[in-house]
Amino acid sequence: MPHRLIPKRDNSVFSQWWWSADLPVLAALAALIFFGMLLSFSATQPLAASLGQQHYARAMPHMAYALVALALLVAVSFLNADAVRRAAIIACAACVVLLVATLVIGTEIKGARRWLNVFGFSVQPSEFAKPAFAVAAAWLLTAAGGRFRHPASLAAFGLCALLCGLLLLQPDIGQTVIVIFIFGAEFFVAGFSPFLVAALALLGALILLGAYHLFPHVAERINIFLDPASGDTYQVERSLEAFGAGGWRGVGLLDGQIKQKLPDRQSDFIFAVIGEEMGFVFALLVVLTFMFIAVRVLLKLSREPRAFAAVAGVGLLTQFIAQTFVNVGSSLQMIPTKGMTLPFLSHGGSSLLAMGLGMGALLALLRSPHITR
Amino acid sequence: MPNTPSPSPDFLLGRDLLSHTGAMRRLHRHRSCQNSGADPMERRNLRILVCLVLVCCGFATIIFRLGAVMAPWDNDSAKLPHPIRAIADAAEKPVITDRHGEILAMDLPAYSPYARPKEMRNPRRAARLLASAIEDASPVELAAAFQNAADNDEPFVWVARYISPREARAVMKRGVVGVEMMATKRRSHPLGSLASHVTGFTDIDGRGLAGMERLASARAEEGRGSGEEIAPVALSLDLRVQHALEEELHATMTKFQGKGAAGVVMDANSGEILAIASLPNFHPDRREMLNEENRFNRATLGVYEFGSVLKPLTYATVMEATPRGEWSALFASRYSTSPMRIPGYTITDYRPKHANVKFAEGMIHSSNVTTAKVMRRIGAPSLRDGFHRLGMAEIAPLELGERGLPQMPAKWGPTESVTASYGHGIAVSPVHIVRAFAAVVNGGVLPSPTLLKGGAAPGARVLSAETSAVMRRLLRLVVLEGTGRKADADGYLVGGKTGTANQVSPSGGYDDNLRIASFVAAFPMDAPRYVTFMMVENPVPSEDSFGFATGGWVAASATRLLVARIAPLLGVLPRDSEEFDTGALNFLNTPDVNAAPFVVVNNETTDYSPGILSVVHNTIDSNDIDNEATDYKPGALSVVHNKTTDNETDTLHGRPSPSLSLNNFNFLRAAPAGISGRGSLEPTARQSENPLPLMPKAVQEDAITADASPVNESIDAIDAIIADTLSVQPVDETVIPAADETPADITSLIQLVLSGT
Repeated sequence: MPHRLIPKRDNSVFSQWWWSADLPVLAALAALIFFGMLLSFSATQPLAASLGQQHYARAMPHMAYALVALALLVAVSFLNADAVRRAAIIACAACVVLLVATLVIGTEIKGARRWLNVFGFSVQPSEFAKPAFAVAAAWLLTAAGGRFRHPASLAAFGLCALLCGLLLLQPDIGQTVIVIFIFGAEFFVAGFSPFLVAALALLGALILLGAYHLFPHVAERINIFLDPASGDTYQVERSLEAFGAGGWRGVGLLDGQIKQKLPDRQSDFIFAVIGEEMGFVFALLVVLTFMFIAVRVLLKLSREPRAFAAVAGVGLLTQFIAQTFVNVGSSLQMIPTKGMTLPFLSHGGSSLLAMGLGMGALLALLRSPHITR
Repeated sequence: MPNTPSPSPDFLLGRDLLSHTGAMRRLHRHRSCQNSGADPMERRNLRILVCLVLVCCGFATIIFRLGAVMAPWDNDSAKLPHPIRAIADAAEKPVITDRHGEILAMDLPAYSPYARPKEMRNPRRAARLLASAIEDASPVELAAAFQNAADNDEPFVWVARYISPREARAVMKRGVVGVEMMATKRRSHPLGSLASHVTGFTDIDGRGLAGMERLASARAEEGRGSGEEIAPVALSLDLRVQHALEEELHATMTKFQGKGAAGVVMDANSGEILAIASLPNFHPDRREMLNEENRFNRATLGVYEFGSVLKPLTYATVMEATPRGEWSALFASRYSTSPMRIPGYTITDYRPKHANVKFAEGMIHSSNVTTAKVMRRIGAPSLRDGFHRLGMAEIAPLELGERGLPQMPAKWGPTESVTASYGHGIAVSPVHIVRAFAAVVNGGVLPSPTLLKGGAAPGARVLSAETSAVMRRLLRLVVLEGTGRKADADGYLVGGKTGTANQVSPSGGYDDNLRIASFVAAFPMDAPRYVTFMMVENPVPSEDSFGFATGGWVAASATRLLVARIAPLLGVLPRDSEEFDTGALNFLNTPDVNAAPFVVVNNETTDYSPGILSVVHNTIDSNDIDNEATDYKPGALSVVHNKTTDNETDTLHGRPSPSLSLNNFNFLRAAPAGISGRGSLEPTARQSENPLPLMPKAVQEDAITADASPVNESIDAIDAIIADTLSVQPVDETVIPAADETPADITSLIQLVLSGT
């Protein structure tokens, strides 16, 4: 059927895209986006109720952002690798400017300056910075060609350090960790010598150790994780309680009770809402969807001949997977509690749009320059 | 571009990517490349594969953790039914049971739909849909409620309370926007009206408003958050006894067209209440029945003038206040029953005997006058103290909130003490009667009534065991020979006291047609185990009862039926009562001391026949009434010449009458010989030698015992009867099982009793 409607030998942009894009991954991503829309009705309901708004008052913006994110995802996936690279480099530069602006004119919420008010919208530049940085850093690292002393390599390290510095000034430990993860993964696959990789891993460990000693709240989180009795574990306890209440099929969408008492249920702990209301089967399905995307993309990248596409793809996917791991791991008490959005499911406009752009870029990079099917 | 992978038809399924051989081939190639010099692409691809393995490990860990945390295979059935939400903190109230664990009140799961009118798009349509799902709902009323709530900006309104699970599912299936379901608990009383005044009732949210439901709510409140299950509220009630009591009360009330009825069955020794009922009653779950009339607990909250059922208390108090050595005189004396005038009233007996009666006869025939006379031997303060000791002045100690405050005379003057002696001018609840009566019969210990199993506090001794022993015989006599004959449930040794008291009409004053007929009883009388009380309010005389609606007709008959039903249940079996009854009847056959023209009694004369002299031994200082001297010096003897034919007050109270002045002792000196012929004149003779009759008591007693007069013989005989009464050993308690032990094998028990062990 598609062969007749969308001829393989057609030179139209759409036919080219259709026959080169990774449709299963796109479908999985779209499924996540649509599920996120549905879930937002439940996850934002207590917040809306507490503000005296209607049930769906908070779900509507999420719907809009999610649809725009899906559109961006598809649109960006039409680009070719070069266009992605160029756009990302510009976007990365813009993000650095915005991050600096955030420190100056940003809105302070809960002791951190992470948001900028742009035309009435609250924008979180760090979200956009992550995919942009992933692509830009990949460009620099591949340009270095595995040579550590190459100027491009040093520039990549410089860019990473600059971004981390700006994020730590906000402060935003979570995003910093993600940026380091992205850079580490790209450095690892970019073909540098194993010694360098080991050295960088050591450096990463040292940075983590430094963070433990430098930032009291990081130390506290880790201490509480290691010894739950030592502090307030209300949030993660509610989270586990919510999972426990779910059973096989869950209590039903919108009918969760424990979620009512679970802080950050619409963003950092949305997976607990899934567990309580949709049950084990569905929660497992969500995890498997993420896993499917990760495995399929990595397998495909592992045969990618173009160094830049492979490294940038790994960077973008690392962001996607790392955020998933941190979010799910936090709500399941596998790692210390760390606020992190679950890609496409959590509430948050910037996160959604940026994730749409990033995964669009990943899809674009996965497309072979020639029709492969 | 080297090594460009060839397109594969399996692309969509990703089979090519998962191809094991493909990965191995690349791995092999990578190794060979490493050996021959770095190939960046191969190295990159291998490292991506390493990433893949790490990512897979990460996801596998997450899946394992997810399974461990959610553990859906554990107690999945305990999960709430979809899609109904529960109130996590819904109050868990303890069940209320009787003493055998039968449930009187419990929580049941129920569902309550509610609406957020603001979120409703079309309240009318919503109301129509909901009414189609809920049986008792009206679409018009619901629509009005939603509209009203929306207009008043109310965020929340109940659609219905406590609908069935089926209805709840139907409501959820309608899918009305803005309607949600709350899974909660509904308080349920499966036995309906049985013991309803004890159980009480709750408001619609399950909070106890009356009865033991209040206690249950309080316990739930205490236990909230402790995480421990709240123990059931185990009542002292025995539902079998309760059922029998309610049935008999209802039958009697219906038969005599009474306005209401009440009854109590209490353990005479521990004070545990086995049954307590008030009619009309109510079904705690039917709100339309909860009107003021039905809710009113006549047994604990209502206070009534019960009349003669209080006489045993007076008699016991008199005996208690009389030294043991003077009981003989107490019993041998005769007391007038002719109408007696006190300021404001003339006291008459219901069925006047027009004869002088003995102590025991005053009780069995329920003579008001005799009781008043007996009371005056000890005086008002002693009677008041006696009633107070018997708990008549305090609110009865019960776990219920509905407890009546007794109404006692504000001042115990001569009038008040006389009326109080036979139960008027004093209003108490049935529980008061039962409690005091228990003390009279159980050996003299006032129990602390309780509605909780094993909840009784130790009682306090208020009467001597001797007083109680004599009272048991007298009360048995009431049933054998007196007004309570209809209560004689054969073989159960019932003893008790009738009471018929006219009530104050709404317009004021006693109304002959408004009365309370009551009967207080205990069984078996030789060693009482249970005290019962039954009353009917405003009974109407019937043809069956030959136009009577008295305690003896109405309540005594009901008590016989009740005792015959509950005694076997409680392990009391019928037996031969001959020995005990004979002992009781002896009190009626005491030698007659009426031959003596005067008998010395305390502040009282025995015979007020005109022209006869009375000698009064003054034990108290009182300006008393009728036929008596005004100058009562304690310890002195007064001689009174009876001018009047009966107990009328012939003077203005407190002012000496010429006829009663001490000058009349001149007449004494010149007493005609005819008087002396009626008995020993010894005391009088001595008195006559003394112009001023202020003789020390010892001298007077000496005078009585000086010679073997008929008086002394009578007193010796009575002494023997009393001694016999006191020597009776109570029945061995081990034969009879305790109240809460249901006899497992009734036949073996009967054999045990019949064998006489």
